[in-house]
Amino acid sequence: MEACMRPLRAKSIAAISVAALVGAVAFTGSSVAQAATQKSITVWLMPDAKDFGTALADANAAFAAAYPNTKVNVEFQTWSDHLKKLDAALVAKKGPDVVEFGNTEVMKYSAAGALADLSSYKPTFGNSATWLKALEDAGSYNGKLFAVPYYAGARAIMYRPSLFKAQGISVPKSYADFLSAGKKLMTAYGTDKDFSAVYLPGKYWYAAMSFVYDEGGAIATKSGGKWVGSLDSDASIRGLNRFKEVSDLLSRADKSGTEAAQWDVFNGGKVAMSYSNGWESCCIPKVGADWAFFPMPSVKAGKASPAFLGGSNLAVPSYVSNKKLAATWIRYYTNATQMKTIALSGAIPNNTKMLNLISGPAAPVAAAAKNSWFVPGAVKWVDVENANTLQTMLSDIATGKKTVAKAAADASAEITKLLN
Amino acid sequence: MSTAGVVRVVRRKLQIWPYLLIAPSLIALGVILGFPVYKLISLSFEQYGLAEIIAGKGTFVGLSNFQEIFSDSEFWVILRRTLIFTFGMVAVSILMGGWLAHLMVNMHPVIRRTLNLVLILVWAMPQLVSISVWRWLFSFEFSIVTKMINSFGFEMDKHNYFVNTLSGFTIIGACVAWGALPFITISIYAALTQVPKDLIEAAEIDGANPRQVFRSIILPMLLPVYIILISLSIIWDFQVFSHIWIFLDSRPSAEYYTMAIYAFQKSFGLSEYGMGAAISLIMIAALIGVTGYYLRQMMRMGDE
Repeated sequence: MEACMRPLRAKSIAAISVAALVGAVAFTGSSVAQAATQKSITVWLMPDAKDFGTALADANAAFAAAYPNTKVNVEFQTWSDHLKKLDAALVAKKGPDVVEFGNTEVMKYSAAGALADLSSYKPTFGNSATWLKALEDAGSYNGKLFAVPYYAGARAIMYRPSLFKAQGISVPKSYADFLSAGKKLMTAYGTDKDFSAVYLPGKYWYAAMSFVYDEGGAIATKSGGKWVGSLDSDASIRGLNRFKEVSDLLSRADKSGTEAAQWDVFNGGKVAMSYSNGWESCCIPKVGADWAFFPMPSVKAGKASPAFLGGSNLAVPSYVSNKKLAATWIRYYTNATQMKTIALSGAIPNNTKMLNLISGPAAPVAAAAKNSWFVPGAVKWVDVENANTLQTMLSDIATGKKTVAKAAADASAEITKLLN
Repeated sequence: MSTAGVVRVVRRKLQIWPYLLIAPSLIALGVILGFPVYKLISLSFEQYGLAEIIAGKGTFVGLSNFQEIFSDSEFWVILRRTLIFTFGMVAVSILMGGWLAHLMVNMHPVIRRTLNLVLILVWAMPQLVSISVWRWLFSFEFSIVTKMINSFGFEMDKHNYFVNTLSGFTIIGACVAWGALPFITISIYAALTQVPKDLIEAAEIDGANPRQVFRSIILPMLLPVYIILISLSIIWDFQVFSHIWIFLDSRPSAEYYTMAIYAFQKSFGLSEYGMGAAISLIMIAALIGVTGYYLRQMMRMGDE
């Protein structure tokens, strides 16, 4: 799933549960009621948009001024079931005119022909010359643009400056610094069994893969038109060994757990560092102002380790009759004015030009977006995420159930199988 | 008009009316249940993925979905796991429910009323809330169960109860059984109050000891209720989905797949709707296989 999504809320889980068994058939019956496209357009956004200040309201106001006869219905979806609802809309051939996708989700739909080709409108979208490459790549297929970059999220190390100061540690500039800082913190505070110098849950694959990509490894590479899992390459294994090292020496997080609520634990005050999204600083009231970010350092001193660039794209389903109108709404929502509002709200805008608008403590997170990695651009990538292949491999490594080499070889074989 | 004619007219009217009366519910059932089941069956013989969704129709592939499922070794593991899990939950919830109900008959009224109230509270709690509470009880970071164990002087580290699948399934199963307990207990208790007192008295006068009364009078009279409850429990527990899903953070690992999760992942995770439909059909067949015996027993009893 997409990187900067908020945790699943109870309601979305309920929706899934309801679908449990009848769900297998229910999708054939459901359809999305909607009026003619000319009179109104329907936009499916994720609730994250509510945190982007006035961007959405401003875009709709500007759109309404230009198209007074078209009503815009924004319907908020949940991350856990929006694709299911989209599948139903595709079967019924009616539904939303604009859909938000997580950037790891969109490729499968572009390739299947579910989305309208927006290539001809590309020059009309704001800042399209400086779009973040990872977002543009995620929205493109076979050289055509199917989904417009919307916003991004990246991760950096969130830490407690007071603890660093107390131990005389300065911000690490290399992986070696990072490791020795962690060890120092463990020596100082580690007698408390709940303390973690680096809170690193065993299934946290965005963190682990950053180590892998930093060493020059990759999840999968394409050779001769075929995808091959490459987690068992020497470079990847070096990265996975680093993941294990941090997990073993510096973390007391659940070796079989996910990062789903890591800010809750950070908030508990017994974590010195965690690999966090920029927005996680919103949710740590007990820590107060005692937090700051630095980019995850690389093995190469002075450089930052590549960060996973999560994010969202906006697309127009292929059944939409007035594609131009839908694309126009996207243009209003992603133009320079709105992107500036989004950037000032703390999210990463869709282009490199505005990255420096993010100032203050979250600036290192925006900087991390400049050097990023992204999941393999394989059509079937979503299948790997759904099969939990990476999470299973990582928790096998963290718990010691398998050796790094064995776990990596198993996962690599499975990825090769799933992607082809 | 002759008298015979009148009689015939009346008889014909009598034959039409029952059908007219039942027609609305039959039509409603046909629309609500019949159509989806028809779609489910036809879907299970099709290749139906994202490409077919966009094309607007699936490709008929005969039995190949079923062939693929039956030749997948993972399927057999999942089926076995689901059956064991179901059996465990049914056994625990029926035994516990029966035990509580039989206790309730002889309880002090105040305690009985309190127990009743607690049971109804459990019943009234929305499933999502109760599962989330249970999940917090056994969470890694904030587990109250671990804290309680430690408060008895043990020194247990923070513990992930779900790494070991036996402990994981025990906790999930306990949560399911706990949720099912009120219905089972109250049903059995209601049936117990219907056992005629004079029958028991007569048996006692004839010299039966309490154990004999229980075995020869009370249990046989409760059998129909037990059979219904066991059948229903099997049907419910076989399909348990939300418990596993929520306990494991919406990302259950392969070792926690049950039939319901397997069908869901195939359908919605991998967009293989034809495959998902086939698994659902297999589930229905398995359920009929498991509950068939009980259903037959029940029908026989109806005939008597």
